[in-house]
Amino acid sequence: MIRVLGRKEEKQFARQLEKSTGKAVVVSDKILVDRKEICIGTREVAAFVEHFGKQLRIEQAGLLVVVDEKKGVFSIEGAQVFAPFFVQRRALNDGEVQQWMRGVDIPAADEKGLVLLSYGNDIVGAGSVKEGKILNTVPKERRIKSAAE
Amino acid sequence: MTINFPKPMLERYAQLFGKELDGFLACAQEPLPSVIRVNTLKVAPEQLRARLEARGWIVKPLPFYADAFRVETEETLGNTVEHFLGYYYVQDAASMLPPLVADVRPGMVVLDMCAAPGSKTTECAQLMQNTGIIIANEIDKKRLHPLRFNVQRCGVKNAIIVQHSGLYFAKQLMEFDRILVDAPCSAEGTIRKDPGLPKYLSENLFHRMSVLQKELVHAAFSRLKAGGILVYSTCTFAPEENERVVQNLLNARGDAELVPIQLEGLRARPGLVRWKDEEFSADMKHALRIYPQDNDTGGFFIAKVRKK
Repeated sequence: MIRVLGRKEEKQFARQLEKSTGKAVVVSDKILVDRKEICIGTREVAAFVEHFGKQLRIEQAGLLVVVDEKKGVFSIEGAQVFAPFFVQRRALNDGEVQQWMRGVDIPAADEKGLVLLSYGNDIVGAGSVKEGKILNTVPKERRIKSAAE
Repeated sequence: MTINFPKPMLERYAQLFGKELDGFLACAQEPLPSVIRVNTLKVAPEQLRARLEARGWIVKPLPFYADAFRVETEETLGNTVEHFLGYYYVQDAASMLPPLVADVRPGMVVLDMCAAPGSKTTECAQLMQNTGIIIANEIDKKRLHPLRFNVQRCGVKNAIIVQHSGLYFAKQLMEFDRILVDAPCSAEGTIRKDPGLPKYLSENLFHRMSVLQKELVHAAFSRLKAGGILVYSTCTFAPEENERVVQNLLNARGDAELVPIQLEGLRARPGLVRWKDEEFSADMKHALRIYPQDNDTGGFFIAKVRKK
């Protein structure tokens, strides 16, 4: 069941985001929660969900920004939306971005925790560092395929 | 590539296309050109164009839609960084028309009744600049996956994806400024993508599809605000699934009127006012028939209906 967060819960969510990104986060959209997923939506979307939510079988409302709240896994769009609040950033080169888009982990340098990944001016996602690697968060269906596939 | 049309279909097409039959048949053998729609929620068209041209792509804007490009490249369109990031959507040019015809604007409440795989929903979102609401409905659970995927990749935050039969909306109280019914159809207009299609086509199929299409269009119209616009479209040529469906709505609803469609740079034919022994309203000329040979696209039918 999708639920629209109230003001107190919004603040709590922003504090939780800050723990992941490293900077105080400002969320200008409404926040909608469904199990472990967190979406942002327009005020109209939130009002519609509150008013008609029980009449409709809602699959998703708004844009998925956090795929797993507990593990702090951001979607690619979530990383783009919250990019200004990330302290740790890593610029990927041509080879690394190809690996990232194919679902491969990227060797970490000296980063720790959650890292925003960019390629030129593009934000391509965010991943957590574990055992010397930035863990890949690109969902299977979004990964690009190699020529052989 | 050679497409074999069953004899009854060739006879129908001879009646439908008249002197242009050979032109249609020749075009039907040709693969569709590659066309992308720029996702203006994430990137400006001129920025994407410069970026792709720098990699050697040939990029030409469509005459009827400045945010869409016909492209030529050695790269696979679905395998680039730009596609991965949702900077463009690969789509047949004709299927970009319904949101343009609907004149979808920021702040509106829009229903996309048959939304998967999300091409119209994502296009509406960019026309609405991610404001207002789009209810993106899809009955088929399997098709919800690509719908979610595309809505996400394009960075859409004003959509609510729901799973219902389109007919379900007739029982609801919500009302919409714009409703798109891109109805399930016999898909004759996709012949350039699917050369095996003709063997599945029959008059029986056209009639069966039209029964569902009439129900969907009635359900949709019942949820339209006064002054609101319903755009009915199919990717098929069969008048049974096009003019007949619209006529059925006009007959049943005195508050429904067909309105002209203005799209500069698009070549199209008026809707039919007669098919075999069936007469349609003179206003049916306001609907558009888009044949593959007109703009080097797939085939399409579009009608714009206003609620008085």
